[in-house]
Amino acid sequence: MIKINLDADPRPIYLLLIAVITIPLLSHTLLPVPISDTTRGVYDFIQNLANTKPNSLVVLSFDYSTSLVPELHPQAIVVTQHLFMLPLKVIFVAQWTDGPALTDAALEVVDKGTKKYGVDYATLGYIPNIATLIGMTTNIEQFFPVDTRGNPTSSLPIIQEFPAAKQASFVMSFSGGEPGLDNYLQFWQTPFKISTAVGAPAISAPGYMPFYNSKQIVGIMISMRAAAEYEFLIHDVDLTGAVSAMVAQSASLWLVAIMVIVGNCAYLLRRSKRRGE
Amino acid sequence: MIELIPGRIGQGALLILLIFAVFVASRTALRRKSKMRPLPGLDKLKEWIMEAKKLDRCVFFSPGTGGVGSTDTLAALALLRYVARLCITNDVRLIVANEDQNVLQITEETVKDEYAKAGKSEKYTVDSVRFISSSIYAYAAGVMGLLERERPAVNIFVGTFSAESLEIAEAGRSEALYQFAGTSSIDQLPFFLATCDLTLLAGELYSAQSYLTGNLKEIAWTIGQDAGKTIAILLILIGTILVTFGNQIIVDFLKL
Amino acid sequence: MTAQRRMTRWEIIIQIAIFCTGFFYALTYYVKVSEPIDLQTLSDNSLAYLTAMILTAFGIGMINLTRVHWRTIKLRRPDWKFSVVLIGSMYGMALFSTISSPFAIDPLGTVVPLQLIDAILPIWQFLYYNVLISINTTIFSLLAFFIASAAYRAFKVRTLESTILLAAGLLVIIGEAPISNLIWSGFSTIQNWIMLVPNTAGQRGILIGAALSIVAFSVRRMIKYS
Repeated sequence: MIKINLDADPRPIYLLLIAVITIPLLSHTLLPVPISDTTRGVYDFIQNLANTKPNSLVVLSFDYSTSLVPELHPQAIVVTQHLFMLPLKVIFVAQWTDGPALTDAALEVVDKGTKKYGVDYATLGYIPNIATLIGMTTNIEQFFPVDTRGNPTSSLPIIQEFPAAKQASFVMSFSGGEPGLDNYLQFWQTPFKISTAVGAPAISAPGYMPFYNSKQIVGIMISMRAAAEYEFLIHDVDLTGAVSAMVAQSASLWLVAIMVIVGNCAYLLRRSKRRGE
Repeated sequence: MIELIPGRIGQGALLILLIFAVFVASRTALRRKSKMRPLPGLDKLKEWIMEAKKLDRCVFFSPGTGGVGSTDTLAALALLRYVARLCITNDVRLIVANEDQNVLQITEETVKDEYAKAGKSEKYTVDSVRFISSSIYAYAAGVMGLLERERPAVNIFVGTFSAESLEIAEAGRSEALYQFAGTSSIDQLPFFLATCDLTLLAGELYSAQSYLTGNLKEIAWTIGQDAGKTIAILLILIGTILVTFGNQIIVDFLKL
Repeated sequence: MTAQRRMTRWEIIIQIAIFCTGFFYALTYYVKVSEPIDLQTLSDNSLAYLTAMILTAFGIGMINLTRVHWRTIKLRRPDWKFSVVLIGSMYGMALFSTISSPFAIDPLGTVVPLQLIDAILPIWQFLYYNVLISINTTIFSLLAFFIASAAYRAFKVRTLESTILLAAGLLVIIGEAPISNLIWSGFSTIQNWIMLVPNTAGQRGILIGAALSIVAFSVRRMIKYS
């Protein structure tokens, strides 16, 4: 009998994990994904905003880097798509340096419908420091004289209509870490009462739960799963491939759970044998 | 014209109260020559570095991926001085890998300074303190490669970390004899606890410098921090009870 | 125990500067002063200057990397060829990004020829979207394997506390899997409860404790330079 010590050599775990993730991904299976309350909070808020205050301003902040693309980029795409399906105006900003490029990548994928650049949406680019984040709440043009395409912001109808970010009704940060949601909570939500939500990777989501519980944020989109849930909500399943990834995710999570259970059973058996001896 | 900003008056008053309490408590602790509880991880560091010397292997230090403005990074830099002094005095090679360029300058100066104080300036090399990358995953990949090539006996991960913490700690685990970590990043503490031999949690990290220097004033200040925490706990308890019975006085005060 | 030495004159000057700067920013957060000087604007502008100063440090990082890896190449240390790739890709990407990217130095082609910008753009896009994103995502995805092996090692029934940790961890892992709800809807209810109640309570405790330690640590730094 071959004895494998997985504590010392975890390679068999890695091989099993590769198989369990690859097979469902290649088979491209779609399964229904139950909608969590935290994701529904974001969807319901945006839907209500479009119904009660049409043509109001929403700010989306791409605060993540290329490494968090698998978790946060699908969320950013589905929320952008949802906003473009509704009568709302959107400004895209970023607190991370990769944000502007990822904004362009997201805008390439979504169906813009009748939305026009400069009128219904604009990409302002990178927010380099807190001073800019605070300053743009009173005067966007002073802190962003040009947008990412080189156009003077004073010439954009959306900026003429909303010259100050404090006029926004909603801000959502796809937050890969700091700087991220914390800055918006501190400098936008608290003084100006702008409703806030966050898209977070699974690792950071527990840290945002206190804010959700105390209703400082309207919802949390957690990892790729939230993107899959949102695709069902906006009836555009597999816009980002998130839904088809859920089977692979489920399989890998169950594998980890089974391995922990099996590992503990083996551990308890060994312990009782040693005690018996 | 001077005016207090509405919405922040209550917070400001609370901050002044907390700082005053910390100050008074630390003066009292200094008068009484109070002692800190031992932080076992820090006692072991010296033993581990001596073992690295016996095996002729190096020590690796990562001050995290936060900037100079992060208090975790400042705490890490304080610990780096102690580790550098131990390594240099005992002729153990130290490698410091940085993710932030500003932190790089400080770590470089710290290590060079300790070499100079020990009269061993000629032993300092460019490779001792290096910059890996300002992208955290490129940093993780770089550190993983470094750990595999250099095979340090002791890995020290102290500072602000994000998701790369598990990667570097797990990669280091296979070669290192001992791993030591300290962070107040809540998300990363479970990973360090699972992969490192000893981990300093949040507040313990900020007390590390006081414990290591043994300086009475520093210890007194650390003890004073507990006074601030006590006031916060009391406020939370009293506020919770009052709000349960419909009294919003503390909530209204904080909203002032 | 170490005795505290006296501060030198320069250290006292630096300490006063540190204290004044820290106190200034704390003051402008709570107090609005508009005459004779608008302190809020002064603090915002000084933050902008600070950002500009911090950005110059990017050059220092590149210099350090170049020094370390140039030395490796010169001395033909093991794996020196990877250092060649590093230096080549670092300067190459910096050049392409400067000419043609969302951070291009001259996006409207006033000085840099538009033909050059158009020629470099597809190269930059390929390197960024097809290479950089893929590489970063690959490193991030290693976490999946490391988490699996760390979970297998850490979740052991040794003590009462580790058993509770094991049970809670398993329930959250299983509840997180969308497929679990097809087996039993209770899994996601339990997972939600664990995340919203005990997890939030624990997070709040650590957050408040860490925040208070940060306040005291920062005040100590402002008062005592070391």
